[in-house]
Amino acid sequence: MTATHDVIVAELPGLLPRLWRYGLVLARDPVTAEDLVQATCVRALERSSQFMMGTRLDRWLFSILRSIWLNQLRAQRIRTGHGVVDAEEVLVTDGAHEIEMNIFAAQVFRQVLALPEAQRETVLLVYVEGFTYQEAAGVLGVPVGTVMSRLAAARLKLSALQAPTAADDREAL
Amino acid sequence: MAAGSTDIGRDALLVAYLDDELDPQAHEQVEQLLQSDPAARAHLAALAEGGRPFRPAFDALLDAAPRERMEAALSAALLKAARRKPDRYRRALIATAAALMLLVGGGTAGYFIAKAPNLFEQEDEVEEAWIDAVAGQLALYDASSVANIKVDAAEQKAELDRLGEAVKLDLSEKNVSLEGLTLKRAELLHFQGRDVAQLLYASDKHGPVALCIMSQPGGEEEGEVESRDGLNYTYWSSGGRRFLLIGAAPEQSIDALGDTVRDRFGA
Repeated sequence: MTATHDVIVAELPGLLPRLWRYGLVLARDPVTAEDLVQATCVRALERSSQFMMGTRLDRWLFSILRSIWLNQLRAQRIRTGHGVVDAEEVLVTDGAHEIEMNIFAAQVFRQVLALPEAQRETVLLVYVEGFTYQEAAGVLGVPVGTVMSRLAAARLKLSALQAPTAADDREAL
Repeated sequence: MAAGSTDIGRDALLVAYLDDELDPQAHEQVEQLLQSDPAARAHLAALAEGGRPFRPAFDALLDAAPRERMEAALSAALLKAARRKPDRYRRALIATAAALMLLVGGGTAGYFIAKAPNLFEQEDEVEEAWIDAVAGQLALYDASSVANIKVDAAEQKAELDRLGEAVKLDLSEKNVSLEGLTLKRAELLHFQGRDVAQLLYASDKHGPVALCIMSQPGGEEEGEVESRDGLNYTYWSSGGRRFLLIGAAPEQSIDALGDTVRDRFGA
């Protein structure tokens, strides 16, 4: 096996939860998010020789996941009538367990999920994943200026909403 | 919201200012703008108000991820990848086998792959070696080299009859014609002592496509489209035969063509 393959095999398990979270933000559905992660693993292993040593594996994997979402699963969901999901009604449960978050975190999460897809994934990459604008632009395949305007639009939308208030109560989303 | 979003460029700069993503010069320009322009200050306030503690809120999701199931799926993908990537030594042997396949025989009489005793003992390795050999062979063709093959209808029919007899399938024209493809060559090949009917097509839009049928049971029943050496392929087994459809066509085309062939020859 090649060195790049070994790096991917060693690091991929630790990145699965973050990939799933990105998938959840894109698809707004935990089952689809899981499918996305699975497809991402298969494709990353198939294309391991294309990963450039010395670059960040998480960004490469995020790009793959995003490409699978755009080219396969999103179209499939739209075809089968599952393309439109109301963020307020996103059931973050796969039947086996529900995601528990405190009310404050759940409110933030819901507000972000209600943003248009391009805005919410940009918010995730920059404000949650901590990518620089340049790094996020690389994953998204857009100019840095587009990242900036998406973040501005997202923030203006959120500023129109009531800011969540801190609370210790927990709820299931 | 304290301000509208009429000036997208200015808001983009302001958000970059808030996120500390500006170079010193642009940072200074924004500071000057904020001092002189109340509307800009109002926008900045609105943008700041739209901030949230995103990271702690979203970190809760990491614990909720179905980690075990994803790790299990990853393990399955790793096993599959390992099965599809023989070690270096074996790859070298497979490449040699593929080269031999082209050297021996020649002409339209058919290629013959040299026997390599004890090389591929296990069933799935037969599959792997076969796919590698065919991919290696097909990679040598481009669209024009196949398009230029002259076809004699009577000879082609006779060859199809002979192939059909060898793999015990009705390979008449109606069964082997595929949408968007022109059958250019039909020949009986041999791989590790097994008969292989190979139909080579020229594509209207892409490079060549090959349909190969080996008269030997075993292998997966339902094949998904995978890729190797820049070619997409689907491989499956049914009715005591193995089928391989491979070409430079996009994944969806290979998938659709595979469905057509499966329907014709029974899944």
